[in-house]
Amino acid sequence: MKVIDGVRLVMRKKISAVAFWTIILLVLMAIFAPLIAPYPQEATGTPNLKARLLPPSWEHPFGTDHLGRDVLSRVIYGARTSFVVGFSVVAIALLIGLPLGLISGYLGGKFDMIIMRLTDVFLAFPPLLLALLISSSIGSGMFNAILALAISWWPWYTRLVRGMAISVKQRPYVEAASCMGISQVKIVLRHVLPNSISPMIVQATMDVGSAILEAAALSFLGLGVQAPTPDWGLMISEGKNYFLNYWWYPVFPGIALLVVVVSFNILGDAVREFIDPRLRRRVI
Amino acid sequence: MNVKLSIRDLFVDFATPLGVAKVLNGVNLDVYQGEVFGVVGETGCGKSVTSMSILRVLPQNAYVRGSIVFEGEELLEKTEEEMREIRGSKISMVFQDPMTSLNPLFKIGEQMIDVVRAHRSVGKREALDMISSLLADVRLSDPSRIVSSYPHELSGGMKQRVMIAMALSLKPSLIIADEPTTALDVTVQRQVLDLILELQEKYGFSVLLITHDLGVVAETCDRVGIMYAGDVVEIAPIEKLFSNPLHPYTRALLSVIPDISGKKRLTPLGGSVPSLLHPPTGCRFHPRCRFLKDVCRQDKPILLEVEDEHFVSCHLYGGR
Repeated sequence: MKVIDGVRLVMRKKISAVAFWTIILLVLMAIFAPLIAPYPQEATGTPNLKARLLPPSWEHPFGTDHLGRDVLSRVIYGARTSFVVGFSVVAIALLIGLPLGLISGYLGGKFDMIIMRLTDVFLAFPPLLLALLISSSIGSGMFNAILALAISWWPWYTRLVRGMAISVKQRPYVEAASCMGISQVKIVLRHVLPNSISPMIVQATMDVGSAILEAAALSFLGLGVQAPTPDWGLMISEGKNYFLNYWWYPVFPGIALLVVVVSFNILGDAVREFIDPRLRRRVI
Repeated sequence: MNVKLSIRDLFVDFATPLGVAKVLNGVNLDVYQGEVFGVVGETGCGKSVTSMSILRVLPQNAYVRGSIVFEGEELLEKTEEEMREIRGSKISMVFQDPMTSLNPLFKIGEQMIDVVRAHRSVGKREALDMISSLLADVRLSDPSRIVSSYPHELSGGMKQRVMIAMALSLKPSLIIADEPTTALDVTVQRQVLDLILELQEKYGFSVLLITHDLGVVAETCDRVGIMYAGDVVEIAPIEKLFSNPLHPYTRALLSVIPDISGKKRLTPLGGSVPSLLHPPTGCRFHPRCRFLKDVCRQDKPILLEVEDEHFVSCHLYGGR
């Protein structure tokens, strides 16, 4: 019921409804890419040298690239890469960051100190620089890009959830639970975790967009996904050389990237409004 | 009399950034089988710290010395797992603020089942049956509806009843009630106190009632301990305390209860509660005491039984 309420609330505000449907649409597009893309073989790499750098037309709505591949098909296939990277980065970062932050905040003491100094080390680097460092040392490729981004991402979640856990563990119901003989594990899972998770949901929603953007940046710099895999960052990187004469090559993947990142940001805001009752009133 | 809980020379220090706060300064008290024992004192006198030391749920910066014997067993020597088994099953607690003592995200039933299942290996169905009869015990009329309600759907009084039911769920022999009525309306306060007394009669547990309200004490307790700045200064049966208060602090407390005729002038106690970072030497009450003697500055008076069942810790009544 709660999820349905949430969806309904997101829908009330026009802009978040647009963002929500855009993401749903793009995800469907990514899933059914082989059925939607006009030239599926070209999307995954097969060059068509006779049709190089054609401007947008009915045959190729987004034009073709320097190897004669249909840009629209590659943008559609690129959504697959982007979503896989975006969701996996956030999922892995949550998987590491959430439990560490939760235990760190709940236990406090030495464990907390060690974990916090560790996150300090990671947070001392600008996130993209750290991801660059990692992926240049473990090599390029989609999987390594995901790993590199997740490694530079988890400390943010650890910090966030730790702060929440510290404030939640002092709430009377947590003390009450421990006075009633509820075990520590149960207290963390049943009381601390559910009551500290809401800001994480907001952050994670917004971060899918940011992770996609950073993955594109890695690809742009040649450290992420490698050709001929269709990827927006990679397409922009290749297309930038042709930008002046053949604008459609880098512009369409760029627009796709923009739409996805902005949509996730708006959706994140909407989720925040849903979770924070003080903001909720304004939406309704 | 059968002693249920016996606290001897309990010292609790807290390490704070400003220094060591000596919060409990050798507390001594006994709670008998089947009685309601009240602990009265101002905010910060160590009432709650005493109750938290019994359950061993003090924060990590607390250092505890002394002895707390419950049903013949030393609680301060128990392992954490042994303590966990005692909490909620043998010694239970009712809290000050029912509004925030329940997790807002889970239904009442789930939270009560958690408590039962933390101590007994029973199925959810069985636990639910136990709970329903408890909710009837605390006079909640529609147990099945309460069980499937979220905390925000209940009133403060109902929540406190739920908390009492939860505390009772494993038939503990001692219930610590830490200001159970402070957050409630006066009319609801009365009902909750009556309920606790009624259940106490029915199940025969002992109650350690912590409060700062002498009115509550007068209505509910069998015996009372008065605390001041980490010391128990006087312990007496309720009639003796009100008819013949011995300790200067107790007298001062009683003299500020307003008289309903409005004719009696109140005589306030001068000064304020001392800092526990730098507590007064000797008797901690001496800076505010009208009967100050030299010895009070140097020696801490011991708790002496000056008449039957009436203990006082003051140099006016002998001792060292």
